[in-house]
Amino acid sequence: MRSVLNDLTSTASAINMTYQQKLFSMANIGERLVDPRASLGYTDEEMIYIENNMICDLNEGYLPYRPRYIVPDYEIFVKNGCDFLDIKPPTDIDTLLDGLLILYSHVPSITSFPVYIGRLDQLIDPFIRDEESDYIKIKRFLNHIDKTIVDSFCHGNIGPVETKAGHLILKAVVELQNPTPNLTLLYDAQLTSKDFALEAVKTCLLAAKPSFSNQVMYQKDVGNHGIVSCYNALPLAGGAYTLLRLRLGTMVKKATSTKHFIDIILPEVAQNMASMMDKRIKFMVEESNFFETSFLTKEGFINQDNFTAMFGIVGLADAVNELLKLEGIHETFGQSERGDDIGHNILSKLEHIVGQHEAPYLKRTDGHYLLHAQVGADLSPEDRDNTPAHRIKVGQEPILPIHLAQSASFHKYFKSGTGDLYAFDQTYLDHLEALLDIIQGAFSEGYRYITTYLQNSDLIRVTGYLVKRSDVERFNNNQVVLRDTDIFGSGTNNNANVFNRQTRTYE
Amino acid sequence: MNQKILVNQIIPFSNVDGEGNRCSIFVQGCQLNCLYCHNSETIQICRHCGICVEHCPSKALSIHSGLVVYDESQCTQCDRCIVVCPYQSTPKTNAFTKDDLMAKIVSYRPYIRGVTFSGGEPTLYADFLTELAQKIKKLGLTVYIDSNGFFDFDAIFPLINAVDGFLLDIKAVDSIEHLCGVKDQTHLKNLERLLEIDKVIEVRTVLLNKHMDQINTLNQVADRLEVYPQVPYRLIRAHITGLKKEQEALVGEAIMTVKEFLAYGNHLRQKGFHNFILQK
Repeated sequence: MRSVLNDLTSTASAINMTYQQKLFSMANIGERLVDPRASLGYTDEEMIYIENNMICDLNEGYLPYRPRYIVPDYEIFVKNGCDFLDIKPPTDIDTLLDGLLILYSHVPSITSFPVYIGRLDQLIDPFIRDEESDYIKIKRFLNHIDKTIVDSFCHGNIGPVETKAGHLILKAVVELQNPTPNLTLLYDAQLTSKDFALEAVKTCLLAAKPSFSNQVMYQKDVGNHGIVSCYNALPLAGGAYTLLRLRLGTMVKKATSTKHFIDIILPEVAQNMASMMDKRIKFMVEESNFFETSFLTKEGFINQDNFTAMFGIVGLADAVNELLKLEGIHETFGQSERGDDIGHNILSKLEHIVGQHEAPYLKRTDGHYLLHAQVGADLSPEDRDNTPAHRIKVGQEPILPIHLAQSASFHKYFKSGTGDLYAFDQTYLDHLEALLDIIQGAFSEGYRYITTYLQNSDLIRVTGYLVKRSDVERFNNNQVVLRDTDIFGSGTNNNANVFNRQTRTYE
Repeated sequence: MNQKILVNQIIPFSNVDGEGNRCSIFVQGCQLNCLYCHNSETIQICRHCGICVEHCPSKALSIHSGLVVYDESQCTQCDRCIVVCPYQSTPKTNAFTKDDLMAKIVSYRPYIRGVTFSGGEPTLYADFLTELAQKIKKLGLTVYIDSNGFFDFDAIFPLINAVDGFLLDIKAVDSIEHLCGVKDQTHLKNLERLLEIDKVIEVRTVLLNKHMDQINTLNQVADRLEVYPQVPYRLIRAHITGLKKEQEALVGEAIMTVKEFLAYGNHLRQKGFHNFILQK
């Protein structure tokens, strides 16, 4: 969506933003003052879909001068150090952690904060000498990230193999109770030991992370990858140029029947979104000089050939609910067989459309965009009618086994990421194996990613990222908060009521 | 073979009925009547007297052809029917065939490690459950029986043989008649025989003051478990929640404090028995 000059004025004098939030916000407003018809060659038709909210460009701006998500291969730093920053390869844990913190501040993204900070346990483990003192350093390193990368889309990975460093990271995560960095265990039943998996389950209940990703499935679909931002699976040493999303819940308002929606509206809007994405990528590659100027490219941390782009959707539940109404069926998505059928019909069609579209500069994914189940980090009122991804609306959730089976069937479409989250009650802390059974079961049924937290904890997963309830309350009371994600969390809760997800208890 | 079983409740995912995530199926009917029973509405089969029908505020209950009929879709789970039932029963049961139950279990299968039959007393339905257990085992799941210990071992041996093991109650020894209304000591004998063939998952004793021979019961169980280190002994403190008013009047004052409860753990430790779990 385009901005107006007035946005700059109101941001400059906002009462509930930090200096840094104002700075980044004003930069973003600047990027949206430009007319994309001039800068990117958007057509009038494409503009209409942005203006009527059917397509959300997540405020990426109209002079895209860096990829949205960058997934550097930090092993390059361990091997070579960094010429541009004049840092030698690390020789011990101190020079490693210090070097990584320096590097992080030079990794751009859509938010200007790095969304991927590496496979932390694998990076750190070879440098572990004395667990007791190294633990203090790891904990300090993670805390430093929380206070300086003030954006909980920042994501670290651990696993699949159990390491000393992995255990120390989990221990520190519980003690710190910080939202950032987001953390995911790349889980592979063949490689991840049971002890490590159970430790991760316990940590997840106590600190709302790490989440669990289906390493086997993603490795097959994306190859070497990192889990970044919310739960996006993106090529390692690459990333995603851009992410736009279809608001299915908004598009459906124009539908006169299910057939009309799937055969007419969906292809038309989807094709417009694909062509906008093409134009964004062309600008980035051909005009922005990002890949020519960034030391990340020159020194091999990233390679333009490893970049893809994400074709997002939100509001499947809302679209299906509306179509069920049009069909005269009094059921809701998540508890309706016909609803599931409609959902699959929509996504199969979309998969086909996206599979047919030839996009530029997408060598890694054979010229095709990857579908993404976007969860929304937007303050737009339009998102009230667009439930995150393919999730069931809060309040319309079926019992857990039915919920798991329902959502598992939708994960297959979303190669660049989807995930579900479930709030559990305290009893599971004494029964970690029971929760691990559920996670393993979900993966065996085609889940890509699953996460959990205790319903009564302060740290809570909004859609894919973490916030503290207490921070969101402070922001709602017009107080300044540290993280941009706290602000998103407030908006998303107001729109989607995510703080009140059904608590899963054993009876 | 459309034989049916009366089921009080199915909990798709339970984390307290054996290791891992399990589906728990609670059958209706028990031959004991324990003072502190927390789900005493599972003891008797409904005799269709109709008292609950008059009391149901949401019209989920009605009488058709002399039988009480329960409409789950109208039920608000206020449990008024259970409160007013004078016969330790409930109208909220469902009759299931083996195929009905298998269909549910199959849909839960990816997420569970096994099925636990609880109740009520599952061994009352040994024939039905034997066949069902065999089918469940074919899915690669384990089957546990949560039993009060009072059954004819030889008569239900096919069931014992079909399942992976028992979660076995030893509720009391000398005071078992006062506590549960049974005269004999079959449960101890059954514990021994199940241990010999490696069919005990865990032994459980609910502890409360006054109404039972606590130390004697603990000693009898610990002595038998000593040579079976794989079998833990779970001590559970009786709670007041879930008790009916008349039960509360009877045993309410006998509920232990946590401190009193923990002292029994110390007793076992002093005895040199350490393989126990205290559930406060």
